[in-house]
Amino acid sequence: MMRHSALLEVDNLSVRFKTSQGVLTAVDGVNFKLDKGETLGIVGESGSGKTVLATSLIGLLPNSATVTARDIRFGGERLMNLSNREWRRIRGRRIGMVFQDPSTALNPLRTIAAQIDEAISIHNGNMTSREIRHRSIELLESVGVLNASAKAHEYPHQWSGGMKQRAIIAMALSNSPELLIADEPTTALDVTIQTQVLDLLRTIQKERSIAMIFISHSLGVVGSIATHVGVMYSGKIVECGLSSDVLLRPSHPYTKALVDCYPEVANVGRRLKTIEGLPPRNFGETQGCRFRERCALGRDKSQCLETDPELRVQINGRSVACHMSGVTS
Amino acid sequence: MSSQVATTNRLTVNNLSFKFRTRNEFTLRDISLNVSTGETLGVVGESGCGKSTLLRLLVGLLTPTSGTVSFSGNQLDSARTRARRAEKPAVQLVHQDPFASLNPRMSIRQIIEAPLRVNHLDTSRPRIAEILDMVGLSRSVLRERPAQLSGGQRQRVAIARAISLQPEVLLLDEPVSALDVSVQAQVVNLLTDLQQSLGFACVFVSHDLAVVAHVAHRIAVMYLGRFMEVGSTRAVLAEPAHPYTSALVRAVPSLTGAGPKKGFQSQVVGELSGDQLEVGCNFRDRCWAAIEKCADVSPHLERLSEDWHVACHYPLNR
Repeated sequence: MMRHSALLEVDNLSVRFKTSQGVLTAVDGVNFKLDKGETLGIVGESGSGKTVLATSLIGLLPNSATVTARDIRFGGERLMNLSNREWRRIRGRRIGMVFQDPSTALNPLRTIAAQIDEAISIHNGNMTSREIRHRSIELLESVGVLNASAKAHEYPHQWSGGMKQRAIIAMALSNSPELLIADEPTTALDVTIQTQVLDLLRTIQKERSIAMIFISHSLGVVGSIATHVGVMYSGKIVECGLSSDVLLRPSHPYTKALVDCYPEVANVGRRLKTIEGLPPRNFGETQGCRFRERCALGRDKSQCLETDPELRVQINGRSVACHMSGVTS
Repeated sequence: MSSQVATTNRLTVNNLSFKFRTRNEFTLRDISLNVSTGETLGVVGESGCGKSTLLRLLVGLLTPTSGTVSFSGNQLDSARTRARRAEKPAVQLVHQDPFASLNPRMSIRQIIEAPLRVNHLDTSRPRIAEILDMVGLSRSVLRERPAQLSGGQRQRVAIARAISLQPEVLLLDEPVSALDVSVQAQVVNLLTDLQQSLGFACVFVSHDLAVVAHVAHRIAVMYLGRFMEVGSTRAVLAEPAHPYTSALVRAVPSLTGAGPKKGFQSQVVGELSGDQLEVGCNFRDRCWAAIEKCADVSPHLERLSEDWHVACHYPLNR
């Protein structure tokens, strides 16, 4: 991930919301680079800022959000302070997005074909409606919809969850984006269907060599698709590196704890480990490491209380934000 | 499965079938099971396979088309609904989504007291405190409303309500699937501890095979309203006999194989359809091992060993 002129370079990105309880920092100083053909998996608990991070990269945050960054570069363009018009030129064309719940992401009153047509026609004013429909059917076939030309005229409620998610993936791919953002794309699906959708995303990425940001709360799902993984806690990336590396040999105490409480089929009858407590909410200014109170290593270390650890590069391109990393537990 | 009612059997189900009036095919077919004191049966399967319908039949929210449900030998009888309400319930159900199962306008105190009041049981402060202690909640939550609690706390409240009536059987419908992995582990451990101290029999319905592996002593794999494989969790998950079980086990994402899987293909093609096949094995259209016989003859649960039954003409590894 650490190469020059990567497809996407995010430098010190923060997102804040004004709320009745004060300013909430949802994303706090996130840095990463992502290249063609790579998949960055983002994992973390609910409320850790995964979705806000992703939506800030596609310009879909509500007006109450304030995005600040030193720089966000995407294929030679700066994704900062863009107008709605400028965002529309990028969103859906150069960056595609797949949302979590396929049943709410589609319009129930329009046929599947009409919705994919729309995604194509918005960015391709010169195509005839016949060409557009032809393209929609091709896209549906490419994501594994059988008998697409007939099925395309059906409405979303006639399709199963897995098929709807395929339609949404087809829509996200309709303008051959360079970056695909998938926000929990398989969370609403059964495991067997999840495997099929992950296979599909993997194949698409290999064939088109696009970059992907894959958000999930499931370490196993991220591990099975991502080349790189970033672990988010309370708005920050606390550990980042090759996914096989990070998930098999976690270095940050939080990553370790997450890996430990992940249930495995092989561990029949074994008691699960837990992480006590809840993630904090970042209202106003905070001091020290945010994981401190739930951390077995740093709970009573003055260093962890006083200074917020920075994400530092270790060997192997792995970065960890912990004063205690390297200290064995 | 043995159809005899042993003394320790808390829940016994015999040849339970169920058909919704508006549908032609059966939603559940020939389900038999028994769960004894202190035991957990995990029921796994995809959405639409009939897991939740089974639980609704077990608590008497639906009436079986045929077959029986008994608790400690007493048969659940829909004709006696009114009489049954007067008795202390032997069975309690915890729902999937604690955001939807708790009344948002009631305080936690009211929510926890309600089932005790209905059954004319002790609602004194010490008793409420004792119930809160059992599920690891502090007394300060009593004044809160569900919206002020986290997902894990809400599910603890739902569990507190269920165990406050000291049921013989606790039914859990996807109790942790709406929770984060760290909180999920806390709730799973809580349930295991409660079972050890209170000794209830437990039916744990989940689509997550990995969670079931951690909590269930025995496991039943369901497909289109039928049990495909039933046996001890350890044996079934280590060496699945049914192709469907094997596919489910392989589909569970595991950390030990982290990193993008090269050329990994899903074993099961297609999706679970709502239509059951008249003859033959329901799973055959998605099965990679299906042959002619599977289209002609419906497999029934056959005994593989003492506590292991499978409904397949050609069980794997046998």
